[in-house]
Order: sequence, then structure tokens, then C-alpha cells
Amino acid sequence: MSTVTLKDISLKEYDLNSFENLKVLRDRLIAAPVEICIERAKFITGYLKKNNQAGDCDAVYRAKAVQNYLINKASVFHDNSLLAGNTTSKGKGAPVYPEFIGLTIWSELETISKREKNPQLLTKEELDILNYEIYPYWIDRDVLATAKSWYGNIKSIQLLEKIMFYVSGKAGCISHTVPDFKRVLKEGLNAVIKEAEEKEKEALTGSGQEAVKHAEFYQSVQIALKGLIIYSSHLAEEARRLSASCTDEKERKRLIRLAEICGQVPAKPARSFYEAVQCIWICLIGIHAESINMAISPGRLDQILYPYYEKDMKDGKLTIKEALEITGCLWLKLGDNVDVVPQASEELFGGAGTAPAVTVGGIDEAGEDAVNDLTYIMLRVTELLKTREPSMNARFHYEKNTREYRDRVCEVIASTLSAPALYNDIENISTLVNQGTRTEHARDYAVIGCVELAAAGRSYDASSSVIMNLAAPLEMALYNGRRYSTGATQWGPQTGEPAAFKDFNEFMNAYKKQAKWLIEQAIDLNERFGAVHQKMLPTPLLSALFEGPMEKGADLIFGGAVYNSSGATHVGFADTVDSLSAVECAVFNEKYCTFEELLNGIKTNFKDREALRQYLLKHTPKYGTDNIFAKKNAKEIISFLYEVYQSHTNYRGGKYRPAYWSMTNHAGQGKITYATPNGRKAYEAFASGITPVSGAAGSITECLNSVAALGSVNIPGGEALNIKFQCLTDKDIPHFGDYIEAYFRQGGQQIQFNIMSYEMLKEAKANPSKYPYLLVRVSGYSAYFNDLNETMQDELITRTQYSVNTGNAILYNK
Amino acid sequence: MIQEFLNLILFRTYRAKIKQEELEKLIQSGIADGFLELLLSLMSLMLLIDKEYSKNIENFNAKYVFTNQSGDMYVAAEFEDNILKVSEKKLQNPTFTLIFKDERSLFKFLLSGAPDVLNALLNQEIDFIGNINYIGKFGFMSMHLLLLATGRLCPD
Repeated sequence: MSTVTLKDISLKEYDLNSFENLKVLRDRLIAAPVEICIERAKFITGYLKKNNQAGDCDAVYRAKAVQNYLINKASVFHDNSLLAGNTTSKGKGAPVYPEFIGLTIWSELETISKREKNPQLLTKEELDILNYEIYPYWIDRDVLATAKSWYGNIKSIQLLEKIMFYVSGKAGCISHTVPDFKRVLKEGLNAVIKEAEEKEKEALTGSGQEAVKHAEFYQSVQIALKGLIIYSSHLAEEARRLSASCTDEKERKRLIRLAEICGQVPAKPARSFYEAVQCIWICLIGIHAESINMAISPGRLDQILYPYYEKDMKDGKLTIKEALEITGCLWLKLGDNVDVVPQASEELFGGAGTAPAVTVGGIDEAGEDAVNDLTYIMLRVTELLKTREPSMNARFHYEKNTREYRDRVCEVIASTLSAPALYNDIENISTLVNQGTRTEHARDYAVIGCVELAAAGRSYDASSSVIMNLAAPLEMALYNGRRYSTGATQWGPQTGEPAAFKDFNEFMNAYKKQAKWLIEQAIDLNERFGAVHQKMLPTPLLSALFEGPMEKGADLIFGGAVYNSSGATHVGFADTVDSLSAVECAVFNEKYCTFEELLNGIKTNFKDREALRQYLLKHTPKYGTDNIFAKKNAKEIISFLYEVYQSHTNYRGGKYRPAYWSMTNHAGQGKITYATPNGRKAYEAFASGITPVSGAAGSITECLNSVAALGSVNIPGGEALNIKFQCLTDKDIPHFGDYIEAYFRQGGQQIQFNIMSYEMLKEAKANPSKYPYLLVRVSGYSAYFNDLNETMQDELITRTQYSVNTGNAILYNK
Repeated sequence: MIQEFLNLILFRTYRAKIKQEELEKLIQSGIADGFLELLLSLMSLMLLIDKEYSKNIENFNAKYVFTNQSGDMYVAAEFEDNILKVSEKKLQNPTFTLIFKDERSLFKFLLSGAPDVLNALLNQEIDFIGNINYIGKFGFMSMHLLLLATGRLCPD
């Protein structure tokens, strides 16, 4: 039930100058150089090297390694944040996870500090530790090396290592989830440990392998959680120690308060809003001790923290200003870490943060308006700080949430120019229910990372299990199972030479056959990686922060969550649909050219074939318009992919869920894909997420109708629709909100914005110092424009810009 | 064999210095011909004379094969017992095989200033058989020599 008591939901009386620290902390964080942190790698590796697993099962061995890290983790107070604890030992750190992709920077250890784009600083001492001690241990032991040693150089791994077919998320992570914090806030981790202890004893009285596995799981939970409690106690001790020598009274009080709080949480229940926020933050640090920093998403914080906020406000123990400040400190803490990224990844996919998603608004489990004071507080903090983290998302239920809330979200988007993204509760809830989620759990959904949907704290979604380049099977259908760039290498099945096809159906069937084959390779690999994770990387700490594992006695990696699934997202959707439509119309319907002529055009990158290219660009059907062929083909691909994925069950007993978000992969994969039948030239970026190709949709209405027509039932993994409006003034807000609501009423699932003109973005590219903190919405999450590589910047610049007043597309002039 | 013997005993530091100068000249000229032989030759010398550098191959046993796509160039580099042996011996079961389009591609990949497996793979300039971490390690060792030769290695 909506519990809004604020007189002014915009909280305009508070700006950054209202807070002594927030602006300073924010500026310092953004300006801080990224430093590679080896602390976790050092302690985890050190433990594993020294102890050799003798006698311990996999789960316990892993838990002990994580505990070793947590009890040795430095308790550093870098600044005067109201929250204690840091993801890494640095002010802004890039932690090395050698189990995953930590070794990908090995060859550039001595150059990474000085590289042009997004350098990551590494001291000589830390370099030597990585090079001589940590990396040699993991050279044959990381997830990919282990998989290769188990399975050999199988086809699905070969395809992965070519990169241009698909990315298999598990080589680098699972993470991508929304934990449950309600229990730890209410009861404290000591209660969870006690339960684990009792259940372990109970399991040991049983017989059989199952009972043994349960006991091992509960034992590993206790070990991991104790490590986290010890870390928190170290924070308390350090705060106390620092306070003793502190001469500034205000600072001394801050440290003493932090010492008290860290002595209480997360071991014991949170007794206040401040303690609750600190508890969540420490738990997130603990989760990152186990799981790589990719899209571990805090979830519906306005719901989870509301009881503590409400009580403190009623008791006069908290003011709105304090709530804003504490929330602001959490927002900044969420940005205290980035991913370790090798140079080529920067060039292809760079600029991504860790995408910790926070979700506000929407409805509650009972189906009523869930917007409360904290929703508005969190929106205001987002508006004031304008930072990349958290990845901010606002749920909107057009029947239950108020128009005031809707318009307030729109104001924040206009102010930040890009955040939050908006989610249609009606569609997303029904999509999750269709996947077997109970209605009340579906109503409690939260967003993971980019745009994926989670039954918060209950579903283990592994939402980045597959990132599929849809143009790959397109090329394979064009070249009878081969890719243009690899010449004669036969990758996929032979589906015939298209020049001999008699009708479009033959080509569509060839495409589907290639796509199905490729999907099955990706799924095969995901299943194999799943087995590797089960052996090497159970996550007892994360499992303890979920509904399900404690009841089942099973780690998340063994299907402990209430709901299980694997997410498979797709890159190049719009370009692929347009290419299929181009083939249908140019070759078979209009007979503008033969298939051979089309192929020759593509193979030569349209050199000396500009007339053909212009025809393909301007006269063939485009997704994003009302064209019947475009609509037909778009729906056909969506439903085909859904059927293929959902026919598979993953190693945890859940389904594969197709999605359409791309992060910066649409730029990266585009950069390595040759010309396509829709007139796209070689190495140009694809359109992002589920967005139509730039310039395709002449009006916003056409664009939104086309995407909404796809429905959401076949997109259970989530989608990113990226829309650019030229600018928004205050008087545009209601109209802007109406567009969104109309789109949602048509069945649209999600939408996110960049409120910026072509000129502004071009200027930002040419003069980055004029726009140092320009935040953009990429395709799922937010990024700083200046951090993006050139291809991604250009893709953002050229995205179709619409006028909010007329709804028409504004043509891009180069 | 004679080369190995010479490496072991004769004017190693001086010879390493000469090789470094040759490498620097080669990099500046942009001519890739002969660079792999030069790189491995310098690497094997440095592993003998530079205590810090030789730590890279402590307890490291691996066999690398470098060959071009046409197969007419083939070099084997065996790391064993803390030394590097370079030969044209056809190795059974190499730990890692790097297949490059031409010596220029290999030159760009290893010594372009930012060795990066991903870029070279995506440009179809190199391919490989084996655990990709091994080329990461080799890339580090190569880059170190490049930085040393060009005076860009930062002091501690």
C-alpha cells in the first residue's frame, strides 16, 4: 500500500550543497583513478595453495578460502563516508578474480597502467605478486582452462574462443542476481548460522549421499558467514582505533557510530535505517568475496529498507536529510569497484560498470501501490548524484501507481539525462508468472544488472549465461554454414547455397537451422560450465542470502533457489530482422536483385554497389515501422528463439529465458561482423538491445508500437529499448510520461532514455572535458560517455533522436 | 646446440645488449622479418642473465610451437628446468600452439605495444590450440623485453 507522507515528492529543498560530504565524496569517486586490487586474489590463492583441499569437500574448501580472505581483508577507511567497508582495498578498485577472467590482463600487466583508454593502475609490487605467485597457480585452473581440460577442444568451446558467435557468461561469471536481504536485516547472520548448524546436525543423522551433501552445504554456509562477521568486527575495531586518535569531534563521532553499527550488523538484527543500510552494504562486500563483481544487484531497496525508515521517522530518530545522506553514501559505495578489463575488451565492449541494479516503485506482493517515501528519496539521490552506479530502475504499474509518481520519474530522467529505466509491471509480472513464478513472487520482481527480471531473493537467474550474436547464424545461412571472416571453415550445418533458394521460406528455414544449431552449442557449453562451477565455485555465502537453499540444503549452483533459469540475450536483433526482410523483399518479392547479386554486394562491402545498398537501406522493410513484412519477421524470430530456448532445461532444473539487451556488445560484435543484407556496412555497430536500427522508425509512435507488438511473454529474460529524445523541459514532462504509459498500455515491457541531441553528443566526443560526467544509458545500464570507446560513442550519437512535441524522428546530419 | 652452448657461457650480457638494440631497431623499422628468432634468442639470453626475469620460468614447464598458416615457418620453444630451448624440432603434444597469418601479424600481436590476444584473434591474424592463458604469459615475457629494449620499462 502506498505510504507517501512527503509534502514535496521531488524533495527540491535538498540539493548537493545541503550535504557537507556527498558532493566531495562523489567528485572524488568519479575522479579517482581505477586501481587494480589483488587483495582477494592473494588471500584466496594463498589459502588454496597452502591447504590443498585435503579432507574437505568442494563447498567447504571454497568456503574456507573465502573466509580466509574476509578475515584478512583490510579494514580501510578511505574517506568520511557514513558507511564502513569497501569492495576492494582501494578507493576505486578493480578486483582480480583469477578463477574467472583475471588472467586476461596477464600480457599487459606492464602496460595497463598507461593505456590510453580507461587505464587501471597496478603497482610493481602487486604486478610481481600477480605474475609470479597468483597467475602461475591459476594458469591451468581457471574456469575456461578447467573446462578445456575436462572436455577437450570441443566445438562449443571453439566457437566461444572465436568470440564472434557467442559469449558464454560462465567463463567469466555467474553473479547476475538479486539476493534477499530481508532475513539478515530482521534476524542477523548469527541466526542463519545457528539454523545452518542445526540443520547440519540433522543432516548428519541421515544416510546416503544426499544427506552428506546437505551437511556439507550447511557447514560451508557457517564457515563463509563467520568470515563476513569477522570482517565486520574488524571494521568496528578499526573505526574505534581511528576514533581514539581523532582530533576532529565530528569525525570522531562518525567513527564511533560506525564502530557501534559494525559491531551490531550483520551479525545481529538491524535496529535502525542506518544499521540496515550498513548491513546491506557489508553483505554485498561479502557476496563479492565469492562472486565476481558483475551485476550483483541490491534489488528493491525502497521496499526492503522502508520498515526501518518508517519506524525511525515515527520515533524521531531519523530525518529526511539523514535518509538522503545515508542513501547517497550507499549509492557511492556501489560505485567503489569496476571490472578488470583487458585492452581489446575496452576497445570492443568498454565503458561498462559493474551494473549493480536498484529497483524502486511498482506494486507490492499483494498487488497494491508500493511507492513510498523511500522511493522518492532514492529518486532524489539519483537525481542529485548522477553517478553511473547504481543502475537505477523504476517499476511502473499504470493501474496502481500514481501519475505523480510517473511524472516524478520522468523528471528525474530529464534531470539526469538517462536514469532511471522504466519497467512495465503488468507485462513483466505476467511474463514471470508464465515462467512458473508464483504471482506474489512475480509482483516482487527486481531488475538484475542491465534489464533482466528476477523474483528478488528467490530466483537464481544467471542472466548472462549466453550472449548470442544473431548476425552469426545470418551469415552462416548466407554462406552455407560458414562465416565471411573465416573463409572456408565449416562451422555450422550445411543449409544450402542461397543463390539456389526458390523462395524466402527456404532462406528463413536455413537461418532457423543455423540459429538453432548455434543456440544448442551455446547451451551445451553453458551446461558444461555449470558442472565446472558446481565443482570449483559453489557460493555458500550468497546461498545463505536467498530463499530456498537453507530449506533445500543445496547451494544455488545445485538448484537451491526457489526458481532457477539461465538467461540468453541477443545482439543484433534489429539488423538481423531487417536483413531477413531485405532478402524477402529485394530478392523474392520485388525481385530487385538476385540472391547472387545481393551476396556479391555484401561480400564487397557494397563497393561499387551503392545503388544496391541505398535500395536495401531505404526501400526494404524495417523493424520499427508498420511494414507487414518487418512485423511478421520480427515476431517470427522472437517466437522461434523463445521456443528453441524454452525446450531446454538447465543443470539446475530451470528453463532458458531469451532476452534482448546488449550492454556494449552490439558495438563490439558489430565491429567484427561483415556487411549485412539490410545495407549495413562491414564493422558498423548493430542497433542496441531490442531497439530498431537508427533511422528506421520515422516516428516515436511507430517505433514504440512495433516493439510493443512483440509482446513480453516470449521475452522472459528482459529487454532494453533505447530511445533518445532531443530535450525535455518541465512542460514536456506530462507528455513524456504519456508516451511511456501509452507504450506500456500497448504491451511494451521496458524503456530507457538518453535525453540529449546529436549536437550535444558530438560535442561531448570532440571535447570530453566539457562533459566530464555525462551519463548515458547504453543498452541496459548507465555509463560515462567519456569511458566508452569510439565505436560505442558513435553508436550513441547516431541513435535516432525524436522530438517529444511532434514525435517525429530528427534526421542525423553527419 | 652450439647456440645453446654459446648462450650458456659466452659474453651473455654483451650479446643480450646487442639483441636488445637489434630488437629496438626492428621495432622502429616496422619490418617483421626475423623478429621471432630475435625475440626468442633475446628471451633465452635474458632468462640466463636476468635473475628477476628468470623467475618467470621457475617451475614452469611448457612447450610452445609458433607456426604460420602455410606451415613453412615452425619454431619450437621449450621451457624446462629453468631454461628456454629454441629449435625447429617437431614437438609432440605441445602445451600451446600459436598459428599466425604471417610474421607481421605475430610481430603486431606480440610487440605492438599492447599485446592482446583478443584483438589478434578477432582480426583473424592469429589462431591457437591450447590454453589461452599460456599465450598471456608468453605475451607478458615478450612485452617485458620490448619495454626494456625501448627504454620504456618503468623503474620500481
